[in-house]
Amino acid sequence: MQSVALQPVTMKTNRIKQADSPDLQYSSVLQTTNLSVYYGGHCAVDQVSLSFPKQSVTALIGPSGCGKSTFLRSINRMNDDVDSCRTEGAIYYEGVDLHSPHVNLHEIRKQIGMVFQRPVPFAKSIFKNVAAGPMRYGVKDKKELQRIVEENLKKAALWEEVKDQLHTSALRLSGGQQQRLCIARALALQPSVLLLDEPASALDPVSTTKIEELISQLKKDYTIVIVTHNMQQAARISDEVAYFYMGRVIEHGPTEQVFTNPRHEQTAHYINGRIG
Amino acid sequence: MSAKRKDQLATAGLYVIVGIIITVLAGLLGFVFVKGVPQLSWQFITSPPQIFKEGGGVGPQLFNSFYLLVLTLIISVPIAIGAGIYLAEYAKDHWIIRCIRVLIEVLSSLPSIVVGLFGFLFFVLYMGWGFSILSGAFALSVFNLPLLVRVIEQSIHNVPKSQREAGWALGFSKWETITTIILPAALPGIVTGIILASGRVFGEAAALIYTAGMSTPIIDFTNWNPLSPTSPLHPFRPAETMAVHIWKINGEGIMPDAAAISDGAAALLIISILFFNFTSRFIGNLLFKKMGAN
Repeated sequence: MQSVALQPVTMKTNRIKQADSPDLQYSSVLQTTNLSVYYGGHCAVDQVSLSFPKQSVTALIGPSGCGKSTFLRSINRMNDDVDSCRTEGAIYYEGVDLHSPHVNLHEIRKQIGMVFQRPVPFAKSIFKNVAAGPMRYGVKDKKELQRIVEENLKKAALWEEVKDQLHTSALRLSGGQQQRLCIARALALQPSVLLLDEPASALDPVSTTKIEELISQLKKDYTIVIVTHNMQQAARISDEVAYFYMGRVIEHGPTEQVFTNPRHEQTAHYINGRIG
Repeated sequence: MSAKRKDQLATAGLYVIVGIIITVLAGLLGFVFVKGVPQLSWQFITSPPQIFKEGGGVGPQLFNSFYLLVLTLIISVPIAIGAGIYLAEYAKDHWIIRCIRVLIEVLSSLPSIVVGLFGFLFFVLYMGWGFSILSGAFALSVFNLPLLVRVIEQSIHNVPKSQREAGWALGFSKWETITTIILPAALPGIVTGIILASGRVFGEAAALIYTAGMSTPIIDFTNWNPLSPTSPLHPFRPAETMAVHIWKINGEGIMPDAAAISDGAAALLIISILFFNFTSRFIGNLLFKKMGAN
């Protein structure tokens, strides 16, 4: 369903800019090399090189303030909007350097969707929340919008709960429903990557379970990067784990290996609850 | 004195203060209504005033008040929304912006008679519009803008930052985020602010005495061509409003029932303003409900 083909990111040239990095792995849809993020003089992310394989879930774990959220937000360049924030190093998406001046920022954010810690439904109807993105990108036909909304609410496992109240305000939904609505809203743009910033930390256990099941479903079609504070969650849903500490990646590897046999003592301490 | 005793005293003191405020307000409203409401009749609110004899009404004045209000809103609301968006979303913390904010505050506390005299010099004389509805509408816009700008800026500012980020994360530009996400979310506050400001404009007299004038020519309510001089819509005719009319007949009214007409007009004015206040609450609540905020 989700095309994994290289999609043009530049709108002007319609040609894909090839990365000049020699060690670029094409099996990974997303990759950072020596990515550093500074807030003023403070280095929040320090030379992080990570690659994210297609159709997998990578969990970013680590104590509060370790830079994992900042790192996540720099992938779709949300930090551009923060004054005093400076980014160094490179991010490659489908082989394209996202910091290249030819790259269209809106297109990046369309293809790399994001869901935040707290659900942020717009003060609109459920239908319009999901349709907002497609309408922005030129879908006008009512039937087509109807189809997109239904399809994505189904993908986000919310359709059955809201199909009879599509035109009521999204603010009336429960927190867990709102968060799934936000996921549907991101999916409606047909992204290939989803960035999830602690998507379940503000939710009750039942909603958390639903979100986790959803993530396991979605990884068949999407590349997912999730920030989480919950070790059990990371163990349950992720294929790979990256442990962040003080802005650096201490350890990165398959979830099972990191959790059962971590290479670094520090990672073991964190996972066992001695740091954090 | 024990903490409990202090608490009781403070509570009693607050009750007394609230009681004084309510007494003053109820007394004032009661006085105006008791004297004014018996004067109100369909004939009173539709017929034109009489200069020398009894039985005149305030029909044209009532129409003028509403027409002037509509023109004022047409002029001031778009400017205020633009300025509110700029101040809430684009303005950086810079000394020029701080100066602008101080200027807006000064402007909002400017005595309305000063706004009226400025309007007289600029719109009536310099622009050559004479005593007219248009001069009055512009003077009222000057008077109304600072309040509107602040209300709108505050409504936009109150929309959480996370809403903007959610818009940007969908690839919306800053402008698209403002128009499709932020403004709809701020709408209940903006509408409430506009209606409350309308009440203030509706009751304004001093700013209009030297701009919209103190007379109303003979107008023909069957002629709705805005270009015809006898049309009620003609923007260059003088237009005395209800508030100005009250002020005038108390000073120089020579009809025998001047006091009764003044009482009736005062009650009508207050009823209209109360109507604005209740409508603003009603519409504000309705919009909030429609958007589902509890």
